[in-house]
Amino acid sequence: CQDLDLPPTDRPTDATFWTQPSDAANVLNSCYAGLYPSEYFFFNEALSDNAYNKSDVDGSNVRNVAEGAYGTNQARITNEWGYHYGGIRACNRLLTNIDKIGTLDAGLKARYIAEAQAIRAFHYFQLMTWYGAVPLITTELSVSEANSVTRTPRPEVLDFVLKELDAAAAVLPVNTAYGAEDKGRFTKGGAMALKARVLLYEGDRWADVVAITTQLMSGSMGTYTLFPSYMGIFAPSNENNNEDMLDLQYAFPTRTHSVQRQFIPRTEGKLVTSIAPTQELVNSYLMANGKTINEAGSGYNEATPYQGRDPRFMATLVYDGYTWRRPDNSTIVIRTFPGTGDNSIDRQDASPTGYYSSKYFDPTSDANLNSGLNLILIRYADVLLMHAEAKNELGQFTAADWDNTIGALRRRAGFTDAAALTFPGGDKASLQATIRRERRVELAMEGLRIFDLRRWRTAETVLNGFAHGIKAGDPNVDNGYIRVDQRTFDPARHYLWPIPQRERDINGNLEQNPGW
Amino acid sequence: VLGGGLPGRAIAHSQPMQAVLEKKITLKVEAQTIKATLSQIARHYNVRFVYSQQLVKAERKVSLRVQDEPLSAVLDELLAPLKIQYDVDEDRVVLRVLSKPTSAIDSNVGNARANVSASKAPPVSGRVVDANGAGLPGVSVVVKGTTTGTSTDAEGNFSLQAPEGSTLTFSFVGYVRQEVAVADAGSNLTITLREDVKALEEVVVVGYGTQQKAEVTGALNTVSAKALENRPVTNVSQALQGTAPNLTIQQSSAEPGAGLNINIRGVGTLGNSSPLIIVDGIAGSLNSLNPNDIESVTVLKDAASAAIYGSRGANGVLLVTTKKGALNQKPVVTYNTLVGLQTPTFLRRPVTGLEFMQLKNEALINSGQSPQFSPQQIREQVARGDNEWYLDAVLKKQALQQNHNLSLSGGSGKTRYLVSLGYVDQNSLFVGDNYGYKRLNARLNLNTQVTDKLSVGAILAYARVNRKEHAYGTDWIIGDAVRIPVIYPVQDSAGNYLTAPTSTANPVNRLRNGGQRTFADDNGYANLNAEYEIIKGLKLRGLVGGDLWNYRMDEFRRSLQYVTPDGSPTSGGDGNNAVTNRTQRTLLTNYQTTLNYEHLFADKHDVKALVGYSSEHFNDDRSGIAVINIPGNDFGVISNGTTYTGISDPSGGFHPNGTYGNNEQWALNSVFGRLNYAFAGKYLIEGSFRYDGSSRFASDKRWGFFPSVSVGWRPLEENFLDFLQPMFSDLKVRGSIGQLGNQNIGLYRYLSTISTAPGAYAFGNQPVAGVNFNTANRDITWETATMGNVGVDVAFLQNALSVSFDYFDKRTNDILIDLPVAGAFGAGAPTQNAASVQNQGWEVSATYRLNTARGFNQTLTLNAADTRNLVRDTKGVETIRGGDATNIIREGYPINSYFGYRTDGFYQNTEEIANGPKPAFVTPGSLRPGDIRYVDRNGDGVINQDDRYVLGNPFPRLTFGANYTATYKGFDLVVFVQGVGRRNLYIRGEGVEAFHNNWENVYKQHLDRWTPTNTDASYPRLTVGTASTNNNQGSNYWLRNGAYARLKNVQLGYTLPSALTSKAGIQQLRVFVSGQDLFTITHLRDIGFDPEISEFSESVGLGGGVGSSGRVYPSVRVTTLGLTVSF
Repeated sequence: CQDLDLPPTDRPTDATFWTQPSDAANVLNSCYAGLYPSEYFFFNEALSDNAYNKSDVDGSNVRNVAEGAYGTNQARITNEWGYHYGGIRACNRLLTNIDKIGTLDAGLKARYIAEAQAIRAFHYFQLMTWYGAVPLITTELSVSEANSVTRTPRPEVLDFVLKELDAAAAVLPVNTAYGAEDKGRFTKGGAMALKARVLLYEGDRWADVVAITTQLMSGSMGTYTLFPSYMGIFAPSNENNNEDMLDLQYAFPTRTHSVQRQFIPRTEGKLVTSIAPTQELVNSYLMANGKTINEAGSGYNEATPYQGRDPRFMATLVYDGYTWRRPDNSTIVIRTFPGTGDNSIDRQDASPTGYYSSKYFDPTSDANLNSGLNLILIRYADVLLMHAEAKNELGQFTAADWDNTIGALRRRAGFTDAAALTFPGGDKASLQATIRRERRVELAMEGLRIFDLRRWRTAETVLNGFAHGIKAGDPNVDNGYIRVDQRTFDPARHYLWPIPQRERDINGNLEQNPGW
Repeated sequence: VLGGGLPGRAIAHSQPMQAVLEKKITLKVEAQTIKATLSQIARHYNVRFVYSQQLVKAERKVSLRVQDEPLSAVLDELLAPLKIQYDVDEDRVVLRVLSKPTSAIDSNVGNARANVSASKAPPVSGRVVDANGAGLPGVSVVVKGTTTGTSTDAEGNFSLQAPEGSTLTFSFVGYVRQEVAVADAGSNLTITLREDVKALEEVVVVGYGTQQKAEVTGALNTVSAKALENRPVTNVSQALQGTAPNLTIQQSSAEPGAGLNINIRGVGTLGNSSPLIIVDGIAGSLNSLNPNDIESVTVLKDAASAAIYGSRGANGVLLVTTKKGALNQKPVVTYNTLVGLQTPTFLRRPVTGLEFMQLKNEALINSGQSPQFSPQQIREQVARGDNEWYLDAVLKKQALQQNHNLSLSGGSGKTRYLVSLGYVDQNSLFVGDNYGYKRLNARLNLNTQVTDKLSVGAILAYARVNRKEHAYGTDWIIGDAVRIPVIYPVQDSAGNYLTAPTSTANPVNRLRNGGQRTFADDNGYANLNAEYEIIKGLKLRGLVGGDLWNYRMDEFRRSLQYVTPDGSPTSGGDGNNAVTNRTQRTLLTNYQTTLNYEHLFADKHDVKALVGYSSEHFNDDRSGIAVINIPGNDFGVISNGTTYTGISDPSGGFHPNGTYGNNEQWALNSVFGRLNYAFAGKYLIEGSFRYDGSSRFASDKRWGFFPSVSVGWRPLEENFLDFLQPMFSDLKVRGSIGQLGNQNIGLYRYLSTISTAPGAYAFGNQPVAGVNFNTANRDITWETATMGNVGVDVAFLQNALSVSFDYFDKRTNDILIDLPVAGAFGAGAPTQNAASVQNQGWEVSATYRLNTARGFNQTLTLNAADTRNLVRDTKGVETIRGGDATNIIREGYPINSYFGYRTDGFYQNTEEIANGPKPAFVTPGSLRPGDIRYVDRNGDGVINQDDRYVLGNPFPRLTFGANYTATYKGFDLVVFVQGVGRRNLYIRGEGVEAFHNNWENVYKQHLDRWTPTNTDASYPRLTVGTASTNNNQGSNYWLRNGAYARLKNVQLGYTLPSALTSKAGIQQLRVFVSGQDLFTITHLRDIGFDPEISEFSESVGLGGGVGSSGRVYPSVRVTTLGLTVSF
């Protein structure tokens, strides 16, 4: 007669868990692991006018979302809902059970709670941004409860996020207080920068944004500076630098990402190029003299379009004639015009726009381009841009503000022309255009553009019509710039994603967003 | 030689057949029926008896005590007093009534007409012979409608008075009754009586015992060794395909060593629906068995036959019995071999380079893009000529396959034995380093009678299964190979392998230089059993058994170098070399005790009872390790790796830190029993139960009781139904009802387990561990299937034609399912007893035997079946899964039905588009003539998910098998056809879709695409990328008719005359040719799909879509030469 009570011999059950301090630490680690996926981080760019995703499968086919050709069961829209609620449950689990561990140091416990609160707030912020009102869940729901929850009004969710971030920031240490083994945890500055972003996305909380960014710039919430080199921010050797306020931590080989294969040149990524920067992004880079390419006296020449541009252009994008440095320090000239080889637009797997990206290329990654490079969610440059934008919206943007924000970013980027560095003056609208453009190029290929388009309500303008690549097409069509994609954006419904069909099939209490 | 003083009958038969009568028998029976005594001899000495029920109707009892006497002497002693004569025919002993020849006419005064006629006419005379032309003595000859009659003499001659126009009836036990009209008086007739070959005494293996077939009341089928032998297959599952109705066997790949899916009576649950497989009494698998070692396979289908396996019987049970030696049989050594070739079939047909360039340009232009190839480039390609197609480059034209079997069996004294060795070597069709499958089987089956009361047996088997394959996924190899057009070479002029566009590797380089994966699995099976007769009729049996598997996998994937089409070096997707090792050890142990009682009360009440206890334990230990960066790329061993890399545990879980190690176990304790009662062979009733306790459930949900009852009636045994006798030679009506269980879910699902995930995150580049919580449901318990079955077994024409029919209805409730939960739950769905499924179906099998006077013997067996399943209840929750092919679990429809749009032809012009419904999934205004038009189900002018239909379902329906055998003068022929009458097959991806996912695959069938001048096309207009969105939607355009009929096996053999071979000491020498999968009738040939390949697992769970996208290893046709020789 066999014993029929056979619990597993290789893992604990809930009956034996929540006893040691390391149990709490490990649950929290899993909360971090579920903060945000590298796929969304990179493919968000293809949702915007900055890039085009050629693939039907890579990046959950966000191409169709960018095209406005999607329904309530689109993969990314379905998955992202579940992803964040998965992260929320992990946080709720920790917050609900951490008291069971009597031996946990009180200070550590308070910090763990604050970290989990901040992570949970991040998830609700993301949900709210995409879907609007979402069910606010702060406990470990049962299946039947989860299958019948209703959407919490958006203001309540917002209020929750802001309060949680305040509560977390009150407890969390500043960035310099963490030892090397804790780099990457939520900090006081990280939580407040996230709060600033939440308020920024509201579009009407400019004074609140300024209040936080001012504090962050004063150094009272941690020590943050612009990293001296724009390119260097993203180099593996400079991980955890003082510009990095919140990031996704990776370590080769146990936790890696390899999305870079899909945006670096085809010969280097050795895979399908599915994130291709657009001509529209390229055109938004200033000339080195601070003028836009269409401005009189800019010196822009369509025949030599990549000369004399914002130094961040070369530090971000790869174009025809770009000299790519390989990990072994040899170089290859990237050619993208038709008939020029493996990276050219007429090659099946190559970039269809003629552009690639080099931001976040990790030369230390392995032969299959698995990378342990951290991906930065919020950097100090963003705080400066938020500060500038909010100040301007309040009509308070001064030359001194310029110098502390845009000016500082341009100096760091390597602009030397005084015309580019000095405060241009002008009315609020022209400054708004300048600040928004600055934001676009400074943060290009970092996955943030689509959120800006949505909060600015400019998506129906820039996400309608064709996305373009290099000037290699029929000269009679769009002046020869090849059309790579046609997009539509319906302001009546596309500013909010639909509640996924899957969720509404299960839970009839979830009301659908307008227009879906 | 023969009893009863009628010499000479057996002389025509060959020596081995005569040898049956020389078997030495040891037997002790007291007051036992002849029937039981014969069965006892049959069981222990491998003898088959054929006789009519009428012969033993009286249930006369005999007592007998013999020691090492020949069977002939035993039979003489047993049968002579009863005036029963016997004869050997082939491997059977045929019994019949011995009648003294009478020359007198038994006239009956009660029949005046007969008397009148008889007195006037000269006598009719003639001779009655058997199929071999030998005279048959003792045949009863009667003038029909009268009692006038006679019997034949020793030479088979007869003579009697019969009027012109009357009919003579010839009847003889063991032979088919025959009627002959008397044309004119005085004629001399020759009557050939055909043997009645139905073995009424046939014994079938049932759960924990055997039963006489005549007494079986459940629904079961038996597959004999003959059906499994000499087939050029490598495993038992392949050999079983089509042999029994509603035993559905599907393969998802023809790759050497690939598994097959087995279903009995369809899919009745949403979880694992694979049947329980019992090998010689112990739960096991078919994977390592040698088909040649199998004596029989019983398929238990209904609740009555399977309830004794209780909680694991719901999906049906396969009982495999291996061969044993026979008592007092001279040692027989048999060697047989099959050596042959496998040839790939069902390959897609590539377009030429010119066609490719034209089609690609057309697709690009259709998609609003610029053409890729200039006229100059196209001219250059034509001048250059096409390259070898990648698919041709990865496959050999033919690959060798061989089977060898050597066995020794016999019995002397009180011991019988069988020793066998088997070897299978199936080469892979893939080019490269001798990939393929090899299996070595060794077996020892031993039985000995220790004392009069105690017998002991042992079965020991060992199997070594080796598989060597490339180090990648076969779907990647095939997927890459079919995707690349012939304008790209495999290698450049310098011999470098190319990475063509759309591919990051070169499948030929991977196969030739990319390393390998080897599996070396050892299986040890031991079964020790004993039987002790406590008192007469009461036997105690015990069994201790174990099934041990040791699995080992070594994979070394080399880093590879390629060049791009430009000639620049690249490592493509194969930059990292890697070594992965996996080991797993599983041990099943089983202890069983049964108590059996058999007694016939008052000559009429036949009672059999069984109670038993069984205890099983299963332990599974596994570990794995994976490393990358092996310096030098040559010595792929774990210790040379410099970096750990992520590894998947095949039983679930991904481990980013490069190692895993798990231990899991389950146990099952059971009490079971069965009671059979038969009244006078007429009324049969059987009840059985099992009470199971499983470690898979919490203590209060653990025990389940599974009862069944079945009844049978044999109308021909009823006196008042005597009038049926001329019509039927056998008739039985059966009915059963019962409950079965299913517990096939993962372990520990009632416990919330927490697994550690090392390296889940990192802080400051230092990996830290995370934990994963498994959602639990303490309340889960057994799935319960309630099943009813009615059946009839009927035989006509003196058993020459026998037919069985069954109808069943099965409702499975409390199905364990992970119902989809709201995303807001934030975790995986817990398993719950939530769903209900109904299965209904029927099965019919028929056998017709025809033996001619000249020894031309033929048998035709047909079986057909159908099963339909219906999801009855899923708590209102629908599960919709899949990508291109979407499946739905919806109440009222079959499990995993295909779900999508209905097509309504192609748009032929812009007016139709302007007036037609607007698909929501494409950019407005992007539809063009030649695109697929969908049915706007709800008529709202928009095509969206609300317009989807349930389109069909993938499970095979109306399955059938037909087996024809013929023998004539040493020649033998087997023709076996198998097929599926109705099946939907969703084909997707690069299998059928041109330029799928922006790739460059396009095939011959796409030449018939829609163009303005070819509007009646079979394929929509060609498009690439976004422009394909409309046509790629899941719809019935991609749903194909998967019905087929396949010539599964043909064997043609010749056995040399024994007179010739016996001089060389050879008992039997047979040479044969055997072919497998030779010809197929299918709708899918043109698109290069094998209709038999299933994308589904046993549970109709999605198997990853590899099958449906055509990324599978090709199907093969096997042709072999074979030889069987025995000494």
